[in-house]
Amino acid sequence: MAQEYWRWPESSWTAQDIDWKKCKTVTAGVDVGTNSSQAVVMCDNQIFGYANLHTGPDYRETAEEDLSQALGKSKMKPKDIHYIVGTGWGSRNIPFAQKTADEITCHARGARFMFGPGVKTVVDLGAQTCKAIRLYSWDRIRDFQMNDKCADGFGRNIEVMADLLQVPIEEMGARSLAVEKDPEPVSTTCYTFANTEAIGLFREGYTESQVLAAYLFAIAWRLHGTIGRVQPEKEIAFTGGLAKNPGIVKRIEMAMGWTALTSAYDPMLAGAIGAAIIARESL
Amino acid sequence: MITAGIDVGIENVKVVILEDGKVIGRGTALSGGANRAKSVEKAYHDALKAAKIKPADVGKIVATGQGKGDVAFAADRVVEPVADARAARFLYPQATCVVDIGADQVRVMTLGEEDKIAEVVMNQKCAAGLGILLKSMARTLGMTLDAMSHLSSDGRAVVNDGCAVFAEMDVFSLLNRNVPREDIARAVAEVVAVRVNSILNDKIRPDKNNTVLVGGVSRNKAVVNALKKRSGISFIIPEQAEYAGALGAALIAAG
Amino acid sequence: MAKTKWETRPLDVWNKAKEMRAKWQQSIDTASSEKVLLAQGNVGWAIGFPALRVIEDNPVGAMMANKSDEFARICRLAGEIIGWGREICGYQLNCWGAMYLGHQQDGSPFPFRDLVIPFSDPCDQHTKRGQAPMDYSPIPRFQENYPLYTGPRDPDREKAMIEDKVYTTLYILEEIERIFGQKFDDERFIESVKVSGGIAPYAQDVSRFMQHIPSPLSQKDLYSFYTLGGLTKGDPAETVAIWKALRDEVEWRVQNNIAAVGNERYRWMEAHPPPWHFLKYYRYMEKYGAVCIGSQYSHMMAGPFELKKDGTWGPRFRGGGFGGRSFDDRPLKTREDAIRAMIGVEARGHRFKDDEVIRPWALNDFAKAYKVDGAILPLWRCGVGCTVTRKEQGLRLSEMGVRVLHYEGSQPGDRTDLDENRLLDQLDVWMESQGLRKLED
Repeated sequence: MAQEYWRWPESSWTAQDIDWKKCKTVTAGVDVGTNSSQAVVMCDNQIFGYANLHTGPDYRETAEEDLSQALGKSKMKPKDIHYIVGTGWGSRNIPFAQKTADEITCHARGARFMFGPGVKTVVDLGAQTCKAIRLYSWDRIRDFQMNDKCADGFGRNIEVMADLLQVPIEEMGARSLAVEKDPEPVSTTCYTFANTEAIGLFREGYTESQVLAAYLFAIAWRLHGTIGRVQPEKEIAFTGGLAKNPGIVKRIEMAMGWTALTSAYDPMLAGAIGAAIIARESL
Repeated sequence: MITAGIDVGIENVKVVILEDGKVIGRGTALSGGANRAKSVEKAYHDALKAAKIKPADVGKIVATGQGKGDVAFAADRVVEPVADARAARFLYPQATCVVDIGADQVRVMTLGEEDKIAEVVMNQKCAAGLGILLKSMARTLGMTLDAMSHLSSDGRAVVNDGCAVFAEMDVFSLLNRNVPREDIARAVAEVVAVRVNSILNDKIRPDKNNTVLVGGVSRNKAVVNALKKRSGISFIIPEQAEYAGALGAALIAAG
Repeated sequence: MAKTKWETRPLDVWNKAKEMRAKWQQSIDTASSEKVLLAQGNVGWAIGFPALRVIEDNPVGAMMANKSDEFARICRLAGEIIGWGREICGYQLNCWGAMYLGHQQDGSPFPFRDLVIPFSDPCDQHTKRGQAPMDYSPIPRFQENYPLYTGPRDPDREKAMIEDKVYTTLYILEEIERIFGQKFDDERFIESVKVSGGIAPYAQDVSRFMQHIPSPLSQKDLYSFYTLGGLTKGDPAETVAIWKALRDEVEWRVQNNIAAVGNERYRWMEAHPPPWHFLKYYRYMEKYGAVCIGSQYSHMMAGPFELKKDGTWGPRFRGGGFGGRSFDDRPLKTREDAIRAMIGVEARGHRFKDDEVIRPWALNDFAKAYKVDGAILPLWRCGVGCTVTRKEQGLRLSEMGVRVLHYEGSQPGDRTDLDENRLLDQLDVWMESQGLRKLED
């Protein structure tokens, strides 16, 4: 079978050393997105397990699979969870959730958990959208901006381009940074024409790294505009799949002149973590 | 004389080896990436193998397709409409119109006298709901392109036909509402039909009975059926339609 | 270099045009330090005020796109962050983006505007033009009505439109006098109208000469001149002189078959502004021996044209309606006389644009007169003004047997969405499918 360059690795983890039966609250958050879905199980204020999977055509199946993988080999069953909150695009397809919460709130809560109280601007670089969220120092949302028009240049686009350019998606960022200076950004980030433009650039003599640089520069530039509109305040942090692409993150940082906070947790978990926290507060 | 035509498309490289007007070998490889030249070589050597000949046996090579510049060893290059028109006329001397639906381009050529091309209409940037969209949707729906192309459904779901990216967003909406996948696949096929039909009727009036359909997407039954219904054209689809460009190039190489 | 079919040589008068443009640019940059008011917009009466210069963001944005996309891009980003949509006209976004940044590409301070005056155009983006500087700092903004009418010619209606514009102009002049304390010099204004009336006849000749085969000028040559007296206003007498010089030189070129493109074998036309950041496609087409004879837009200084009975494309009225006398042949005595003469008989602003909206077949006459083989009509996504009826015009031209190529980009001042290599590929397809291969690499 042809190599699938776009297929970023899924992951899951379950704690070995937490006795969940002794915890006061056991909650879970499930975030079903168009492209990726996550489940996070929390015991009190600790993360007990998580899973990050590709969203399949059946959203319900994906949600169940996520939770099941987050629980891993532990003896915990879904019925043992006190409260489950669903969020994300496909939140209506999480039948086992007690309630749903909007993605913005969940991301904000999740980001505070992951990056600490100092984060004031959270930017979710997702598959279809860029959401820039500005927070007060207490847990309330101050402002919010989303990309205009369409999903050009976001996660889904990066996946398509990984295939088109035959570069493993996890390597795109690093390879794009192997240039002395960024070339001109590409004229369009729409993936329908990405390959056509890439052919033209290769013909001009661009190397693979330069083509990647031209694309990620254009994407980062566009993201910078959206982020700028929310009048960002330090500290800034990135969540979502593209937060794992240093080619994009570094370029946004350079354009802004800021350095983003980082976290030990996978940035794609922010929504689910936030949902799990909200679940705890709902008890 | 043995000639070769190499069509370097966005998605696939297609090669045809021709001897005295007969195709004696074909080859194909996935193009894309920085190593298009490598894909070209692979496809070319596969074709030579299929034809049971050596590189030195080939008299002349002509390249076409968006990546024609990547074929360093070609003697000449022709633009895609010229190659398509040549192939169509060769296969069907009565053809008056050729439609080529590829990964991100659709071209409609009306043929003039002798080997002239009367008019070429190409899709504009947006609304390229073509091969790339189909491939992308197959993945989203969790099925192979081949399987998707053979589906049919009586459903009524509709997705955006103005933009491949918006179409995809609509697909996510439909999945969210648990619409059956066959229905969504049908809606996507309809998108391609709508787009191609609008190009078909831009400036020209294609002949209902002498229009040839080529290009990779012509292999997609669902799309072809939807397009036939919408346009009222009984397309003539040659065998190995996606090799039409390469065939045309090989014919041009032969003179 | 291989011998070409016809002789070519650069224009002698080109350097003078460059000088005039530079002088105008200088006058804008120093306006503030010279304590001269700078007005956003474009009108013919500015010269009546002792210290008022006009500048429209059109040439500014276009020149920015042409000179450096890197800087223009930063300006556009600044505009987006402030809140402007990404797909607003690139001229505006470039120019006002620089305003928000406070400086031009070379680091010199941005020439902030002191007031906004009309620049009427059926283009929707023009109406928006004055908003940015007005929002930025509290300056007066004067607008005028520009109704776009698509019905049959109606003399009563046109009379009413003229009256409205005369009234509005008189009102604006009085208001500027009152607000800024500058006395409007009627004599100077009347004189400038009389003198400026001399531009159009020369411009019309230049346009007409381009119908010659081979064309003495190409579109690119026209770009060096077509703003003089229009978008870039300088001394009227000097402006008339350079147009005369251009006319004389082009006439000589026609008499001696000096061509813009030595291997001319294909003539093509355009409509409306090109992608300013990618003008090299004209040169690319020349490799096929294809010359662009212009567009109604680039021939704008010649005023409204029509197809004559003898098949030539000539001015609707000789002398552009000026020449020192009004349309009903009275001498120009008062401020109002001069305003009426300036507005002209058809009170429709940019006539060629109006014509295109009202008559999608307007380009057919142009095509016939200039004997074009093909037309490249861009479909710009922003700026309705550039794209309105473009597709219909393409269809009408096709019906007449002219080969048409459409290509899409965002718009002339912004290189977003214009895949340059793809455009060149499309040009190859267009040329080769017409049986033409490149004459040079």
